[in-house]
Amino acid sequence: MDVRAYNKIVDEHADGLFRFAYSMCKDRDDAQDVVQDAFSKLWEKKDQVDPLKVKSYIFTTAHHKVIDMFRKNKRFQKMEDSTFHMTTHQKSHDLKEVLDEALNTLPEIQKSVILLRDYEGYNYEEIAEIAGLTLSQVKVYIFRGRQKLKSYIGQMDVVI
Amino acid sequence: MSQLINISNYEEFVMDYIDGTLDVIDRAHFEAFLLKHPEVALEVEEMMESDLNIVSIAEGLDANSLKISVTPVDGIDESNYEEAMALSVDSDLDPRLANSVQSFVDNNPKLAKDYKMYMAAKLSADHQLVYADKSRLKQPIPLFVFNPMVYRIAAAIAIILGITALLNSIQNEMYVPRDGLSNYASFDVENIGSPVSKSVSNGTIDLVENASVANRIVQNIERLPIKEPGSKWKAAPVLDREQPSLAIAQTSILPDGMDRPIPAEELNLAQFVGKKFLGLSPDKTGTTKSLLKESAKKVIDQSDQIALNTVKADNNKKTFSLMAGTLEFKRVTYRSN
Repeated sequence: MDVRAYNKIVDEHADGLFRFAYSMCKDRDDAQDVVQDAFSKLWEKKDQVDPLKVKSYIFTTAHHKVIDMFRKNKRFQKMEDSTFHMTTHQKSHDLKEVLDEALNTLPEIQKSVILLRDYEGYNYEEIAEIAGLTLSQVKVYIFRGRQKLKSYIGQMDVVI
Repeated sequence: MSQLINISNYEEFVMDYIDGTLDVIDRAHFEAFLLKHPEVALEVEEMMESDLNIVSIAEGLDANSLKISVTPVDGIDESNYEEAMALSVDSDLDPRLANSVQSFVDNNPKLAKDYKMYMAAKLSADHQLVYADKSRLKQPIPLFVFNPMVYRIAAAIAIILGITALLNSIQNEMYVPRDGLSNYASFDVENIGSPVSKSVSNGTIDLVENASVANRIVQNIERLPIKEPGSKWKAAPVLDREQPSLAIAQTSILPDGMDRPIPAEELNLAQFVGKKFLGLSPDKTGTTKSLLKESAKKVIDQSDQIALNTVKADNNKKTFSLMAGTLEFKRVTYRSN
Protein backbone atom coordinates (compact mmCIF):
# COMPACT_ATOMS: atom_id res chain seq x y z
CA MET A 1 0.00 0.00 0.00
CA ASP A 2 1.57 3.28 -1.05
CA VAL A 3 0.75 6.79 0.13
CA ARG A 4 -1.85 7.39 -2.55
CA ALA A 5 -3.73 4.20 -1.75
CA TYR A 6 -3.60 4.99 1.96
CA ASN A 7 -4.91 8.53 1.45
CA LYS A 8 -7.70 7.17 -0.70
CA ILE A 9 -8.72 4.88 2.14
CA VAL A 10 -8.79 7.90 4.45
CA ASP A 11 -11.15 9.64 2.05
CA GLU A 12 -13.38 6.61 1.76
CA HIS A 13 -13.62 5.45 5.34
CA ALA A 14 -12.72 8.24 7.76
CA ASP A 15 -16.29 9.53 7.96
CA GLY A 16 -17.85 6.11 8.52
CA LEU A 17 -15.28 5.27 11.13
CA PHE A 18 -15.83 8.59 12.85
CA ARG A 19 -19.62 8.05 12.93
CA PHE A 20 -19.10 4.62 14.43
CA ALA A 21 -16.66 5.93 17.04
CA TYR A 22 -18.80 8.93 17.85
CA SER A 23 -21.90 6.79 18.27
CA MET A 24 -19.97 4.61 20.65
CA CYS A 25 -18.26 7.34 22.67
CA LYS A 26 -20.67 10.23 22.32
CA ASP A 27 -17.64 12.48 22.55
CA ARG A 28 -16.18 14.19 19.51
CA ASP A 29 -12.61 14.36 20.79
CA ASP A 30 -12.58 10.75 21.87
CA ALA A 31 -14.05 9.73 18.53
CA GLN A 32 -11.33 11.67 16.70
CA ASP A 33 -8.71 9.96 18.82
CA VAL A 34 -10.15 6.60 17.91
CA VAL A 35 -10.09 7.43 14.20
CA GLN A 36 -6.55 8.80 14.32
CA ASP A 37 -5.38 5.78 16.23
CA ALA A 38 -6.98 3.40 13.72
CA PHE A 39 -5.43 5.13 10.73
CA SER A 40 -2.00 5.52 12.28
CA LYS A 41 -1.99 1.79 13.04
CA LEU A 42 -3.05 1.09 9.48
CA TRP A 43 -0.11 3.15 8.18
CA GLU A 44 2.29 1.34 10.48
CA LYS A 45 1.03 -2.03 9.26
CA LYS A 46 0.42 -1.00 5.68
CA ASP A 47 2.60 -3.73 4.29
CA GLN A 48 0.97 -6.43 6.36
CA VAL A 49 -2.69 -5.55 5.96
CA ASP A 50 -4.53 -7.30 3.17
CA PRO A 51 -5.73 -4.52 0.82
CA LEU A 52 -9.10 -6.26 0.59
CA LYS A 53 -9.52 -6.14 4.36
CA VAL A 54 -8.44 -2.60 5.04
CA LYS A 55 -11.89 -1.41 6.10
CA SER A 56 -12.31 -4.39 8.37
CA TYR A 57 -8.87 -3.68 9.86
CA ILE A 58 -9.59 -0.07 10.78
CA PHE A 59 -13.00 -0.93 12.24
CA THR A 60 -11.45 -3.75 14.25
CA THR A 61 -8.86 -1.35 15.60
CA ALA A 62 -11.52 1.23 16.39
CA HIS A 63 -13.79 -1.35 18.05
CA HIS A 64 -11.02 -2.55 20.35
CA LYS A 65 -9.94 0.99 21.13
CA VAL A 66 -13.45 2.01 22.09
CA ILE A 67 -13.98 -1.09 24.21
CA ASP A 68 -10.69 -0.37 25.97
CA MET A 69 -11.77 3.20 26.57
CA PHE A 70 -15.04 1.97 28.04
CA ARG A 71 -13.25 -0.35 30.36
CA LYS A 72 -10.62 2.11 31.45
CA ASN A 73 -12.84 5.11 31.74
CA LYS A 74 -15.90 4.87 33.86
CA ARG A 75 -17.18 8.20 32.75
CA PHE A 76 -18.77 6.55 29.77
CA GLN A 77 -21.02 4.63 32.08
CA LYS A 78 -21.83 7.75 34.06
CA MET A 79 -22.56 9.60 30.87
CA GLU A 80 -24.86 6.83 29.73
CA ASP A 81 -26.75 6.95 32.99
CA SER A 82 -27.08 10.71 32.94
CA THR A 83 -28.16 10.64 29.30
CA PHE A 84 -30.78 8.05 30.10
CA HIS A 85 -32.20 10.00 33.04
CA MET A 86 -32.18 13.24 31.15
CA THR A 87 -33.93 11.83 28.12
CA THR A 88 -36.56 9.91 30.03
CA HIS A 89 -37.55 13.17 31.61
CA GLN A 90 -37.60 15.00 28.31
CA LYS A 91 -39.77 12.33 26.70
CA SER A 92 -38.52 12.87 23.20
CA HIS A 93 -40.90 11.63 20.55
CA ASP A 94 -38.58 11.79 17.58
CA LEU A 95 -37.70 8.24 16.54
CA LYS A 96 -34.13 9.04 15.58
CA GLU A 97 -33.46 10.83 18.84
CA VAL A 98 -35.15 8.09 20.83
CA LEU A 99 -33.07 5.46 19.07
CA ASP A 100 -29.98 7.46 19.79
CA GLU A 101 -30.94 7.59 23.43
CA ALA A 102 -31.81 3.92 23.44
CA LEU A 103 -28.45 3.09 21.93
CA ASN A 104 -26.73 4.67 24.87
CA THR A 105 -28.50 2.31 27.24
CA LEU A 106 -26.99 -0.75 25.58
CA PRO A 107 -23.84 -2.46 26.83
CA GLU A 108 -20.91 -1.42 24.68
CA ILE A 109 -20.55 -4.75 22.92
CA GLN A 110 -24.21 -4.80 21.90
CA LYS A 111 -23.95 -1.21 20.80
CA SER A 112 -20.85 -1.93 18.76
CA VAL A 113 -22.26 -4.93 16.87
CA ILE A 114 -25.51 -3.14 16.09
CA LEU A 115 -23.65 -0.07 14.84
CA LEU A 116 -21.40 -2.20 12.67
CA ARG A 117 -24.47 -3.89 11.26
CA ASP A 118 -26.71 -0.87 10.78
CA TYR A 119 -24.21 1.86 9.99
CA GLU A 120 -21.69 -0.05 7.95
CA GLY A 121 -23.77 -2.98 6.70
CA TYR A 122 -21.33 -5.64 7.80
CA ASN A 123 -22.72 -9.16 7.81
CA TYR A 124 -22.59 -11.32 10.91
CA GLU A 125 -19.37 -13.08 9.90
CA GLU A 126 -17.59 -9.79 9.34
CA ILE A 127 -18.84 -8.41 12.63
CA ALA A 128 -17.64 -11.56 14.37
CA GLU A 129 -14.19 -11.02 12.87
CA ILE A 130 -14.07 -7.35 13.77
CA ALA A 131 -15.33 -7.77 17.32
CA GLY A 132 -13.50 -11.02 17.99
CA LEU A 133 -16.73 -12.91 18.66
CA THR A 134 -18.28 -16.11 17.40
CA LEU A 135 -21.09 -16.00 14.89
CA SER A 136 -23.56 -17.16 17.53
CA GLN A 137 -22.43 -14.46 19.93
CA VAL A 138 -22.94 -11.83 17.29
CA LYS A 139 -26.48 -13.04 16.62
CA VAL A 140 -27.29 -13.14 20.31
CA TYR A 141 -25.87 -9.67 20.94
CA ILE A 142 -27.73 -8.24 17.98
CA PHE A 143 -30.94 -9.92 19.10
CA ARG A 144 -30.62 -8.67 22.66
CA GLY A 145 -29.63 -5.22 21.52
CA ARG A 146 -32.59 -4.93 19.18
CA GLN A 147 -34.88 -6.27 21.87
CA LYS A 148 -33.76 -3.48 24.17
CA LEU A 149 -34.08 -0.85 21.49
CA LYS A 150 -37.57 -2.07 20.73
CA SER A 151 -38.53 -1.99 24.40
CA TYR A 152 -37.12 1.49 24.75
CA ILE A 153 -39.12 2.74 21.78
CA GLY A 154 -42.21 1.17 23.29
CA GLN A 155 -41.66 2.93 26.57
CA MET A 156 -41.14 6.28 24.92
CA ASP A 157 -44.51 6.22 23.22
CA VAL A 158 -42.96 7.05 19.88
CA VAL A 159 -45.18 7.44 16.87
CA ILE A 160 -43.93 4.94 14.33
CA MET B 1 -33.55 -17.09 58.05
CA SER B 2 -33.93 -16.42 61.73
CA GLN B 3 -32.47 -13.02 62.53
CA LEU B 4 -33.34 -9.78 64.21
CA ILE B 5 -36.07 -7.90 62.40
CA ASN B 6 -35.94 -4.12 62.53
CA ILE B 7 -37.24 -1.10 60.72
CA SER B 8 -34.51 -1.27 58.08
CA ASN B 9 -35.02 -4.89 57.04
CA TYR B 10 -38.61 -5.76 57.82
CA GLU B 11 -39.65 -5.38 54.16
CA GLU B 12 -37.76 -8.56 53.36
CA PHE B 13 -40.15 -10.50 55.51
CA VAL B 14 -43.45 -8.85 54.61
CA MET B 15 -44.37 -10.93 51.57
CA ASP B 16 -43.38 -14.19 53.18
CA TYR B 17 -45.43 -13.25 56.25
CA ILE B 18 -48.47 -12.48 54.07
CA ASP B 19 -48.01 -15.70 52.09
CA GLY B 20 -47.56 -17.65 55.33
CA THR B 21 -44.21 -19.03 54.34
CA LEU B 22 -42.15 -17.67 57.23
CA ASP B 23 -40.88 -20.31 59.62
CA VAL B 24 -42.11 -20.34 63.18
CA ILE B 25 -39.24 -18.42 64.67
CA ASP B 26 -39.20 -15.66 62.04
CA ARG B 27 -42.95 -15.38 62.22
CA ALA B 28 -42.67 -14.87 65.98
CA HIS B 29 -39.95 -12.26 65.50
CA PHE B 30 -41.93 -10.49 62.80
CA GLU B 31 -45.09 -10.35 64.94
CA ALA B 32 -43.05 -9.03 67.86
CA PHE B 33 -41.73 -6.34 65.50
CA LEU B 34 -45.28 -5.46 64.41
CA LEU B 35 -46.32 -5.02 68.00
CA LYS B 36 -43.56 -2.50 68.49
CA HIS B 37 -44.36 -0.68 65.20
CA PRO B 38 -48.11 -0.22 64.81
CA GLU B 39 -47.68 1.91 61.64
CA VAL B 40 -46.01 -1.05 59.95
CA ALA B 41 -48.66 -3.40 61.28
CA LEU B 42 -51.32 -1.23 59.65
CA GLU B 43 -49.44 -1.24 56.36
CA VAL B 44 -49.14 -5.02 56.42
CA GLU B 45 -52.80 -5.38 57.22
CA GLU B 46 -53.74 -3.24 54.19
CA MET B 47 -51.51 -5.32 51.99
CA MET B 48 -53.14 -8.51 53.16
CA GLU B 49 -56.57 -7.07 52.33
CA SER B 50 -55.59 -5.90 48.86
CA ASP B 51 -54.05 -9.26 48.12
CA LEU B 52 -57.32 -10.91 48.93
CA ASN B 53 -59.12 -8.45 46.66
CA ILE B 54 -56.87 -9.29 43.72
CA VAL B 55 -57.49 -12.97 44.25
CA SER B 56 -61.17 -12.41 44.36
CA ILE B 57 -61.14 -10.37 41.14
CA ALA B 58 -59.03 -12.94 39.37
CA GLU B 59 -61.37 -15.65 40.41
CA GLY B 60 -64.11 -14.03 38.36
CA LEU B 61 -62.11 -13.95 35.10
CA ASP B 62 -61.58 -16.44 32.30
CA ALA B 63 -57.82 -16.35 31.96
CA ASN B 64 -57.89 -18.10 28.62
CA SER B 65 -59.83 -15.25 27.11
CA LEU B 66 -56.89 -12.95 27.82
CA LYS B 67 -54.33 -15.13 26.11
CA ILE B 68 -53.07 -14.47 22.60
CA SER B 69 -53.10 -17.51 20.44
CA VAL B 70 -50.11 -17.75 18.16
CA THR B 71 -50.25 -19.49 14.79
CA PRO B 72 -46.85 -20.97 13.93
CA VAL B 73 -45.49 -20.31 10.45
CA ASP B 74 -42.33 -21.86 8.97
CA GLY B 75 -41.08 -22.93 12.38
CA ILE B 76 -41.70 -19.53 13.93
CA ASP B 77 -43.88 -19.83 17.01
CA GLU B 78 -44.45 -18.10 20.32
CA SER B 79 -41.13 -19.36 21.66
CA ASN B 80 -38.91 -17.83 19.01
CA TYR B 81 -40.86 -15.18 17.11
CA GLU B 82 -39.08 -12.27 18.85
CA GLU B 83 -35.70 -13.58 17.88
CA ALA B 84 -36.89 -14.15 14.33
CA MET B 85 -38.30 -10.63 14.16
CA ALA B 86 -35.10 -9.12 15.51
CA LEU B 87 -32.97 -10.98 13.00
CA SER B 88 -35.33 -10.28 10.12
CA VAL B 89 -34.51 -6.58 10.50
CA ASP B 90 -31.36 -7.59 8.63
CA SER B 91 -33.47 -8.88 5.77
CA ASP B 92 -30.62 -8.42 3.30
CA LEU B 93 -28.73 -11.20 5.06
CA ASP B 94 -31.54 -13.73 5.06
CA PRO B 95 -34.47 -12.93 2.74
CA ARG B 96 -36.10 -16.30 3.50
CA LEU B 97 -36.28 -15.48 7.20
CA ALA B 98 -37.73 -12.06 6.41
CA ASN B 99 -40.43 -13.67 4.25
CA SER B 100 -41.25 -16.19 6.94
CA VAL B 101 -41.53 -13.50 9.57
CA GLN B 102 -43.78 -11.47 7.30
CA SER B 103 -46.03 -14.53 6.85
CA PHE B 104 -45.99 -15.08 10.57
CA VAL B 105 -47.07 -11.50 11.19
CA ASP B 106 -49.79 -11.79 8.55
CA ASN B 107 -51.14 -14.84 10.40
CA ASN B 108 -50.73 -13.23 13.81
CA PRO B 109 -51.86 -9.63 13.43
CA LYS B 110 -51.73 -9.02 17.17
CA LEU B 111 -47.94 -9.31 16.96
CA ALA B 112 -47.66 -6.87 14.08
CA LYS B 113 -46.85 -4.01 16.41
CA ASP B 114 -43.88 -5.92 17.80
CA TYR B 115 -42.64 -6.49 14.30
CA LYS B 116 -43.09 -2.84 13.46
CA MET B 117 -41.14 -1.88 16.54
CA TYR B 118 -38.27 -4.13 15.61
CA MET B 119 -38.17 -2.65 12.14
CA ALA B 120 -38.17 0.81 13.64
CA ALA B 121 -35.31 -0.13 15.91
CA LYS B 122 -32.93 -0.36 12.97
CA LEU B 123 -30.39 2.43 13.19
CA SER B 124 -29.35 4.68 10.34
CA ALA B 125 -26.14 6.63 10.17
CA ASP B 126 -26.21 10.39 10.25
CA HIS B 127 -24.27 11.31 7.14
CA GLN B 128 -24.04 14.91 8.24
CA LEU B 129 -21.60 13.69 10.84
CA VAL B 130 -18.18 13.62 9.17
CA TYR B 131 -14.56 13.65 10.21
CA ALA B 132 -13.64 17.32 10.18
CA ASP B 133 -10.09 17.37 8.92
CA LYS B 134 -9.11 14.35 6.90
CA SER B 135 -5.88 15.98 5.80
CA ARG B 136 -4.56 15.39 9.32
CA LEU B 137 -4.98 11.67 8.80
CA LYS B 138 -3.27 11.61 5.44
CA GLN B 139 0.37 11.03 4.71
CA PRO B 140 2.31 13.54 2.58
CA ILE B 141 3.07 12.29 -0.89
CA PRO B 142 6.87 12.14 -1.18
CA LEU B 143 8.48 13.78 -4.17
CA PHE B 144 10.71 10.79 -4.56
CA VAL B 145 9.89 7.33 -3.37
CA PHE B 146 12.89 5.30 -2.30
CA ASN B 147 12.63 2.02 -4.04
CA PRO B 148 15.69 -0.19 -4.51
CA MET B 149 14.19 -1.58 -7.69
CA VAL B 150 14.06 1.93 -9.17
CA TYR B 151 17.75 2.35 -8.44
CA ARG B 152 18.54 -0.98 -10.03
CA ILE B 153 16.55 -0.15 -13.14
CA ALA B 154 18.14 3.30 -13.36
CA ALA B 155 21.61 1.79 -13.01
CA ALA B 156 20.84 -0.78 -15.68
CA ILE B 157 19.58 1.93 -18.03
CA ALA B 158 22.66 4.05 -17.34
CA ILE B 159 24.93 1.12 -18.07
CA ILE B 160 23.06 0.31 -21.27
CA LEU B 161 23.21 3.93 -22.38
CA GLY B 162 26.89 4.08 -21.51
CA ILE B 163 27.67 0.95 -23.45
CA THR B 164 25.59 2.19 -26.35
CA ALA B 165 27.43 5.50 -26.35
CA LEU B 166 30.69 3.66 -26.12
CA LEU B 167 29.87 1.37 -28.99
CA ASN B 168 28.70 4.31 -31.03
CA SER B 169 31.99 6.00 -30.47
CA ILE B 170 33.94 3.01 -31.63
CA GLN B 171 34.40 3.10 -35.32
CA ASN B 172 33.68 -0.15 -36.97
CA GLU B 173 36.66 0.25 -39.14
CA MET B 174 39.21 -2.18 -40.27
CA TYR B 175 42.80 -1.39 -40.99
CA VAL B 176 44.98 -2.97 -43.46
CA PRO B 177 48.66 -3.10 -42.72
CA ARG B 178 50.92 -1.60 -45.26
CA ASP B 179 52.50 -4.91 -45.97
CA GLY B 180 49.26 -6.71 -46.74
CA LEU B 181 46.79 -8.93 -45.03
CA SER B 182 48.44 -12.15 -46.06
CA ASN B 183 50.98 -11.81 -43.33
CA TYR B 184 48.47 -11.60 -40.54
CA ALA B 185 45.99 -14.03 -39.10
CA SER B 186 44.03 -11.47 -37.19
CA PHE B 187 44.09 -7.93 -36.04
CA ASP B 188 42.67 -6.01 -33.13
CA VAL B 189 41.28 -2.54 -33.17
CA GLU B 190 41.37 -0.91 -29.79
CA ASN B 191 39.27 1.95 -28.69
CA ILE B 192 39.27 2.89 -25.02
CA GLY B 193 40.56 -0.48 -24.07
CA SER B 194 37.77 -2.36 -25.74
CA PRO B 195 39.42 -4.49 -28.35
CA VAL B 196 37.57 -5.68 -31.37
CA SER B 197 39.10 -8.77 -32.77
CA LYS B 198 38.32 -10.06 -36.22
CA SER B 199 39.81 -12.89 -38.08
CA VAL B 200 41.04 -12.52 -41.55
CA SER B 201 39.96 -15.24 -43.85
CA ASN B 202 41.95 -16.57 -46.72
CA GLY B 203 39.66 -15.02 -49.26
CA THR B 204 38.71 -11.43 -49.40
CA ILE B 205 37.85 -8.92 -46.81
CA ASP B 206 35.60 -5.99 -47.35
CA LEU B 207 36.78 -2.94 -45.66
CA VAL B 208 34.58 -0.46 -44.03
CA GLU B 209 33.33 2.39 -46.03
CA ASN B 210 34.29 5.77 -44.81
CA ALA B 211 33.43 7.80 -47.79
CA SER B 212 32.16 10.83 -45.94
CA VAL B 213 35.63 11.96 -45.00
CA ALA B 214 37.68 10.07 -47.47
CA ASN B 215 38.30 12.98 -49.73
CA ARG B 216 39.51 15.38 -47.09
CA ILE B 217 43.05 16.58 -47.27
CA VAL B 218 44.96 16.61 -44.05
CA GLN B 219 48.19 18.47 -43.87
CA ASN B 220 51.33 17.49 -42.03
CA ILE B 221 50.55 13.87 -41.78
CA GLU B 222 53.30 11.79 -40.36
CA ARG B 223 53.35 8.68 -42.36
CA LEU B 224 53.64 5.25 -41.01
CA PRO B 225 57.27 4.25 -41.00
CA ILE B 226 57.77 1.65 -43.60
CA LYS B 227 59.96 -1.28 -42.84
CA GLU B 228 62.87 -2.22 -44.95
CA PRO B 229 62.08 -4.40 -47.94
CA GLY B 230 62.74 -8.04 -47.29
CA SER B 231 61.68 -7.94 -43.70
CA LYS B 232 58.72 -9.81 -42.38
CA TRP B 233 56.75 -6.60 -42.38
CA LYS B 234 57.10 -6.06 -46.02
CA ALA B 235 55.36 -3.01 -47.27
CA ALA B 236 53.30 -2.93 -50.36
CA PRO B 237 53.71 -0.16 -52.86
CA VAL B 238 51.59 2.89 -52.44
CA LEU B 239 49.50 3.43 -55.47
CA ASP B 240 48.07 6.82 -54.83
CA ARG B 241 49.55 8.94 -52.16
CA GLU B 242 47.50 11.99 -53.00
CA GLN B 243 44.14 10.43 -52.40
CA PRO B 244 44.58 7.35 -50.37
CA SER B 245 41.46 5.87 -49.06
CA LEU B 246 40.56 2.88 -46.98
CA ALA B 247 36.99 3.26 -47.96
CA ILE B 248 37.56 1.69 -51.26
CA ALA B 249 40.26 -0.64 -50.27
CA GLN B 250 39.69 -4.21 -51.10
CA THR B 251 42.29 -6.84 -50.96
CA SER B 252 42.44 -10.13 -52.58
CA ILE B 253 44.85 -12.96 -52.47
CA LEU B 254 44.96 -14.66 -55.72
CA PRO B 255 44.52 -18.43 -55.90
CA ASP B 256 47.88 -18.86 -57.50
CA GLY B 257 49.54 -17.40 -54.42
CA MET B 258 51.40 -14.86 -56.47
CA ASP B 259 52.76 -11.95 -54.60
CA ARG B 260 50.71 -9.12 -56.06
CA PRO B 261 50.60 -5.57 -54.84
CA ILE B 262 47.70 -4.87 -52.56
CA PRO B 263 46.00 -1.68 -53.62
CA ALA B 264 45.33 1.20 -51.33
CA GLU B 265 46.72 -0.51 -48.30
CA GLU B 266 47.88 2.70 -46.80
CA LEU B 267 45.89 4.08 -43.92
CA ASN B 268 44.11 7.25 -44.80
CA LEU B 269 44.28 9.38 -41.69
CA ALA B 270 41.91 11.84 -43.22
CA GLN B 271 39.10 9.47 -42.52
CA PHE B 272 39.26 10.35 -38.84
CA VAL B 273 38.71 14.06 -39.31
CA GLY B 274 35.36 15.21 -37.92
CA LYS B 275 34.84 12.04 -35.95
CA LYS B 276 34.59 11.76 -32.26
CA PHE B 277 36.87 9.37 -30.47
CA LEU B 278 37.51 8.31 -26.98
CA GLY B 279 41.20 8.30 -26.62
CA LEU B 280 44.05 7.59 -24.29
CA SER B 281 46.42 10.29 -23.30
CA PRO B 282 49.98 9.02 -23.52
CA ASP B 283 50.83 11.07 -20.44
CA LYS B 284 48.38 9.14 -18.35
CA THR B 285 47.58 5.59 -17.64
CA GLY B 286 46.02 3.92 -20.58
CA THR B 287 43.34 2.03 -18.72
CA THR B 288 39.70 2.18 -19.49
CA LYS B 289 38.96 3.31 -15.95
CA SER B 290 41.22 6.31 -16.13
CA LEU B 291 39.98 7.06 -19.58
CA LEU B 292 36.40 7.21 -18.42
CA LYS B 293 37.45 9.35 -15.51
CA GLU B 294 39.15 11.78 -17.79
CA SER B 295 36.32 11.73 -20.28
CA ALA B 296 39.04 11.93 -22.83
CA LYS B 297 36.81 12.46 -25.75
CA LYS B 298 37.98 14.28 -28.76
CA VAL B 299 36.69 15.38 -32.06
CA ILE B 300 39.49 15.19 -34.50
CA ASP B 301 39.82 18.29 -36.57
CA GLN B 302 42.14 19.34 -39.30
CA SER B 303 44.36 21.31 -36.98
CA ASP B 304 45.32 18.14 -35.18
CA GLN B 305 48.57 16.58 -36.00
CA ILE B 306 47.31 13.21 -36.90
CA ALA B 307 49.95 10.57 -36.85
CA LEU B 308 50.27 6.88 -37.12
CA ASN B 309 53.04 5.49 -35.00
CA THR B 310 54.31 2.04 -34.56
CA VAL B 311 54.08 1.44 -30.90
CA LYS B 312 55.09 -2.15 -30.64
CA ALA B 313 56.54 -4.58 -33.07
CA ASP B 314 57.75 -8.08 -32.49
CA ASN B 315 57.75 -11.31 -34.43
CA ASN B 316 54.12 -12.05 -33.92
CA LYS B 317 52.37 -8.75 -33.92
CA LYS B 318 52.65 -5.14 -34.73
CA THR B 319 50.78 -2.31 -33.10
CA PHE B 320 50.07 1.05 -34.58
CA SER B 321 48.96 3.99 -32.57
CA LEU B 322 46.86 6.68 -34.15
CA MET B 323 47.58 10.03 -32.62
CA ALA B 324 45.82 13.36 -32.80
CA GLY B 325 48.22 15.75 -31.15
CA THR B 326 49.14 13.99 -27.94
CA LEU B 327 45.92 12.02 -27.83
CA GLU B 328 46.14 8.41 -28.78
CA PHE B 329 42.66 7.83 -30.04
CA LYS B 330 42.97 4.47 -31.66
CA ARG B 331 45.27 1.53 -31.47
CA VAL B 332 45.45 -1.17 -34.06
CA THR B 333 47.28 -4.40 -33.52
CA TYR B 334 48.06 -6.86 -36.27
CA ARG B 335 49.05 -10.39 -35.54
CA SER B 336 51.13 -12.46 -37.87
CA ASN B 337 50.30 -15.95 -38.98
